[in-house]
Amino acid sequence: MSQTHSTTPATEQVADAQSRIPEPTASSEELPKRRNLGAVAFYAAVAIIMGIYTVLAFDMEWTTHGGDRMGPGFFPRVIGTCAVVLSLTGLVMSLRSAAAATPPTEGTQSSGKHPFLLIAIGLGLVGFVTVFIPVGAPVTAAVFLLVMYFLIQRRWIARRAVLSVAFPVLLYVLFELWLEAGLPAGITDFL
Amino acid sequence: MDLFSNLLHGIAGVLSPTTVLLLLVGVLSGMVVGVIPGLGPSAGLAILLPLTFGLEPVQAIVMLAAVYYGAFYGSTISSVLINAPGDAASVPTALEGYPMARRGRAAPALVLGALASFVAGTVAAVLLTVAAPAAASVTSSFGPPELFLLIVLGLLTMIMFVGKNWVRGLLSVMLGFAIGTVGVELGGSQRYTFGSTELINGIPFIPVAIGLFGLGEILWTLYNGAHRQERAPVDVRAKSAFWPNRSEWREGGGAIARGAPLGFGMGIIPGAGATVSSLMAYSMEKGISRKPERFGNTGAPAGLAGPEAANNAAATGAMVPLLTLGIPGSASTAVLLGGFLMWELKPGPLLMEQNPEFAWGLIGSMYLGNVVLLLVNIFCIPVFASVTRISLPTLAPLIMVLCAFGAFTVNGSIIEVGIMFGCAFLGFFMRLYGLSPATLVIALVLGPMAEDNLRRSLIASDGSFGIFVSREPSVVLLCVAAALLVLPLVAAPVKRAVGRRFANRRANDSENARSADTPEVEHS
Repeated sequence: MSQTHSTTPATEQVADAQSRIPEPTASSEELPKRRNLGAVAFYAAVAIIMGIYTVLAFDMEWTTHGGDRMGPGFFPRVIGTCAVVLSLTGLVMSLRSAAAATPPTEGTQSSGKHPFLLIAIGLGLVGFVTVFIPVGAPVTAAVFLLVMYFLIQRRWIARRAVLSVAFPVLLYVLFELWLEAGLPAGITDFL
Repeated sequence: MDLFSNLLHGIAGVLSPTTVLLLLVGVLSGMVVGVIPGLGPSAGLAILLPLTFGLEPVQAIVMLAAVYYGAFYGSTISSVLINAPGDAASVPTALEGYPMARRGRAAPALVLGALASFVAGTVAAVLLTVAAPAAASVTSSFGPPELFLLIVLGLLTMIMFVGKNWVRGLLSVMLGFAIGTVGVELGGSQRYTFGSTELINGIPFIPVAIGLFGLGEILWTLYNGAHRQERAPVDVRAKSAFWPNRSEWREGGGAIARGAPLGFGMGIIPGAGATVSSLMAYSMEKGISRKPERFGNTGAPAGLAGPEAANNAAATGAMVPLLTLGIPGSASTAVLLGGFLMWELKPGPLLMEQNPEFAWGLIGSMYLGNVVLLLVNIFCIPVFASVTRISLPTLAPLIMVLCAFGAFTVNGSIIEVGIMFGCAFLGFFMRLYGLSPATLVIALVLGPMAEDNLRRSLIASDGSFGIFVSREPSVVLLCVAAALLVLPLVAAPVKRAVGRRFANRRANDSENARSADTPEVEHS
């Protein structure tokens, strides 16, 4: 009986497959390098934020006034110091991989990433939070949905326009009647 | 006998028409969420949590638990039909189920997956019924030092087993701990509130969980261009029979029998959970299979049934530390714990004594839920298959609005909606740069508990850390932690040795095959 045994552990095959299944790979040839520089920026930002967190933690007491109990600063100081060290380690690792990043070989890149879509969604979410109370939940949600459908995919736009109006109204009624959630009515308060 | 009477009381308690209806709604909602590519059980729970705000605690937790295991079932459908696992635990299902579906065995693969989930879920519910009271009686003797060490152990397990890089895993933990320190601490001092009254009670868990899981996964999926991809689901009615054939039953049955206890055992370990157990079951099935070459190629029923059984059993197993210690073993149970705390229920050793109707109602609902899920799965497979046809571009904005309404509903605070959106981007960047949002959420829940237990331990010992080595259970937990730390150092050489052995065996096999071929060539 001949059996073909793979030397690759099954878990590694699974991990490979996981990256293979739902996610397309990068679009531009510069992407790996940009990703690494992005990682550098990300870890630098985390290091700065956690640095500020740690400085503030050192303003808090290590022990209580009696000196026999953990003060409010005990845990934050430990967390902050560890987080700064770890984020700096991550930063160094990212810098190393950014330096070592080689241009991708032809054929390794396929469909694209969509950073601009994410920026647009981010702006949409900021707008959502800003006008949610003054304009009201149903209208804000309806406009937000229309904008999102326009940004994400402009297909079946009539059907989605109906959905953009019907869904927030349904949800509003559900939350108000069932959960008595107190969602802001805003400009639809007269209804 | 107490056990049975408690269980019967629990089942009777959830047999009211309203609770059964909510169970059904939870199961269906969970399955729909699980079927949607990119949304796993934790995201589904986070998104649907606000819909339970108006319910009684028992009804709410029954519905949420139904969403929880319904989502695990749902992931199987999208994995088999469109090769898109809802979460990492369903990856083996996609690896084996999708090739089976391509061969025209979609319906048998789904039936096998559903049966594996049902059997494992029911076996795990039985084990939970027995293990939870036993574990509660053991853990009731645990003091703050043991609880602190258990929390550390849980996080350590998560970092070691789940993450690829321990630096990133540990950083995720520290970020979760840091967020958990915002607000008034136990001594009464304000930390990181910057004078804001909104932050006095700390950064709320629900918006963070919804943002990191629900919205974070949506952003991640859109960033990766899922809205540009066309996924044509395999037709479940095509060509073949509905039920698995005899050899598929035989292969699947053994795998289920092995996967269920393995999954339950792994689920009990805080931090290990469904993904690790699913991958372990897959490795085990491939390792013992007589035809390992079928795995990942033509589709092996054992490779589908084993991991399916393991991940569903692990989902139930994760309830043991949650119910008896109040420690969530996975991201999904962390969200469940958030729900518990919202209804002012404190899981831990005393939960089963102080709130028996709640704890046993939850356990009892799992038996009913599994039966409902099996029936729904087998008879409604084509209906759920049609959910996979709903495109992500249509669903994504609707989910964003649902999350926003839900987050606002908790406290009527727009700041919390803002926190949720902020956490969505934090979750996205964490995934992009290899950090773990799941670990952050668990650490956010466990951070204040860890601080509280450390503080109590040090009060009890007059500030001496010696308390952690002076009690027997603490010493045992410290030894386990040490073993966990040593494990990678030992595992690497063992893995290399096994790899070498396999390589040598393969070289010998091919040499034997060549020497066997050579005379034939000469004769011809």
